[in-house]
Amino acid sequence: MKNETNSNPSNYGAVLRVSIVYMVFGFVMFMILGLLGLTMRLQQGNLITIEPTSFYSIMTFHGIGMISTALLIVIGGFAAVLGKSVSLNVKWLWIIFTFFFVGMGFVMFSTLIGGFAAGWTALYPLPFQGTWSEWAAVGTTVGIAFMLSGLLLYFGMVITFTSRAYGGLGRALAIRYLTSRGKNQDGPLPKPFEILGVAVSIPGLVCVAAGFVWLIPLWLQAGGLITGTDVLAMKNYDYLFGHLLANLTIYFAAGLLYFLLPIYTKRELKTTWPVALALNAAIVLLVVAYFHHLYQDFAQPLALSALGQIATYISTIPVLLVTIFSGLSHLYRAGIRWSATLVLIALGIWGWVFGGIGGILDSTIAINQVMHNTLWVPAHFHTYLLLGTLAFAWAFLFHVTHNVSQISESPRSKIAASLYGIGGAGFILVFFLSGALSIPRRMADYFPEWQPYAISAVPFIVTLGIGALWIGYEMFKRLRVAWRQTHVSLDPSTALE
Amino acid sequence: MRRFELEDSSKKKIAALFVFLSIIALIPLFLLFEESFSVHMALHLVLMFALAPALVGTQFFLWVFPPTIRAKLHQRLGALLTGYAVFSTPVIAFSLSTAFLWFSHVPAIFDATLTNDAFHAFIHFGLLATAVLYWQPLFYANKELPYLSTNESKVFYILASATQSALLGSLIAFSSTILFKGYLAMNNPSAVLMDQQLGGAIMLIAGAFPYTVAIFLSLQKE
Repeated sequence: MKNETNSNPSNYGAVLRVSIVYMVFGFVMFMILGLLGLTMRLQQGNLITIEPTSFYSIMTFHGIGMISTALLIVIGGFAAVLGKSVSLNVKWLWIIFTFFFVGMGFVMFSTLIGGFAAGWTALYPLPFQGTWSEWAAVGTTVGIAFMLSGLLLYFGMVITFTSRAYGGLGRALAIRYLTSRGKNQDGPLPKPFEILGVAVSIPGLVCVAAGFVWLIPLWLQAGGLITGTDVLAMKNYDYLFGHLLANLTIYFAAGLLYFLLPIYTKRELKTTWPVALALNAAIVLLVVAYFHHLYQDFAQPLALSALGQIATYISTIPVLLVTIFSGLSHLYRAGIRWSATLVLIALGIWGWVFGGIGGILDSTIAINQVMHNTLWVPAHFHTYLLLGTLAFAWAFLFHVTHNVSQISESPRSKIAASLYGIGGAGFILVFFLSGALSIPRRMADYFPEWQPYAISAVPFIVTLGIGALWIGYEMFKRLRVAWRQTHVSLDPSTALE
Repeated sequence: MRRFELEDSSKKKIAALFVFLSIIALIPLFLLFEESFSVHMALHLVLMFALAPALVGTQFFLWVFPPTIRAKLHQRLGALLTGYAVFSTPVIAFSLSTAFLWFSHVPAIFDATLTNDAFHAFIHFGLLATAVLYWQPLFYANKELPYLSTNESKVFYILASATQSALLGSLIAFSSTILFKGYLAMNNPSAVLMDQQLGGAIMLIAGAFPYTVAIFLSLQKE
């Protein structure tokens, strides 16, 4: 079964430019939000003093901002990958960027100036009962709505344009090939990252819908049109939206990995039957695994919790099969020459596995009863975001600036990538250790016996920051030339390869 | 007379309709703005985000004149047009519109407008004029007036303005003290504070939408 490219988009240079803007803006936001993260750890270690209200505002912006930033970076990168074979609408891409930019602005101003400090998990009596004004809560929710609107456009674009390129949604998902156990295919077979894009965009639409189902009653309540909401239902929609949002980041990042690996290992990543099955399984498993967020709610049916645990366990199989196995087998004895991009790719695979194991443990009901609301949870999501999603994203951005500018890579950039990895690993290991010791999450003021753990994270964060800055420097010094090159006619079939 | 040639007559007619609608919307706002800060902010929004871009879109209705009169106008108002071209250069237009917006919302300046009608008229005219300069580079590509030709430049230009405007709106919406004391003469302090926060929220939230629409309308297909 041969993978074929269906079209040869003429607007690829423009797509690549928008993609670069997404990722560079994301990098800048990552550094700013990372500084806020450092501020929180300094406060928890009692090395600086900030008011608890300010701490929780910072935490809210750091949390919503980082997840949005990670998503913006990976969907931007993914557009550059998908745009090679599928003709994307550049105008839409700019509008999606605008929605994210405006949305992040709302969240930033509403938290840092407005003092909104409820976090995105604004459970009853939040988000309106607090030390902040009602407008700060409204501002934050409007910001989230802007970002959701951007995502709605993005997912709609990926599904529509990829389906158009392959002659229908079924073909874009390789359904005929899948149902015939690999014997029949209906037209050209999409590449793995193309199937992935369409497959995860479907739960992406569920994420957007859940987000709005959560937001609209909040606005009605703020406007005085309704006096209250079903708080358990609101919690469920809030968490469904949040769960999917967080998971989408890593799946789109995996798309970047599927693109990069064959280039560096010179081994083709084909759409085989198991790969098509695993990618399509994500449509269902991504959503069903959400039930692991219900463990602490005694009012919810117990069967849903059991389903959550089982689905979470099953959801690891496609990831293991396609991303981890395939990634490692590509790297094994490929005769590769290590570069910063490859260091970041290897780091990303490690981060996904390690963060995933942390998540699987926490999704086990018996363990969750102990670990819930401890630092184990931030340990899990910081691992897969910082060392999984973002490691893949930086690898891709590094590759783009290096490849398009044609400026050779400095051997020292491998050190920068390694510093990022060492700093990141130390930082999250302290989180895991703290979680194992039942130190709670979301706490501004620590007891003296907890403070050494927060303090010990600081040197790792600084190392991580130096690594990130260095990577940024290496990327940005090539950026001007790369940007100019995007105006030169780029052949999409060979670009970035 | 290339400068005022119709590039797309239907666009200009639609813009003319928006000028008309903006003026209709401004009438009730002008009757009420001295009593309420939030109404005052709504008025500013209509001036800056509806009337100003609509006026630019109509190219100041110069197209309604016959070519001979336009030629004479061009000769007589040449210096004015040159000045307009200079001040609507993107960096200058952005700086002027931003500076004037912030200047006009300095509490002491704002309160002064409530007691001095001439000064108030000057401030409103200034907001409109600087907003006209701001929108100009996004309209109609021609050789004689500044124009942002790439999608990325348009997006950055608009988002830069959206950011500073949202920042100003946030500072007002989230202030826990009364910034514009001139309104205390009309109402009790808690009502004035609530109205001030609503005004800031209008700037912050409602103000974001015109910028988003502007990006949508000004981008070209690539």
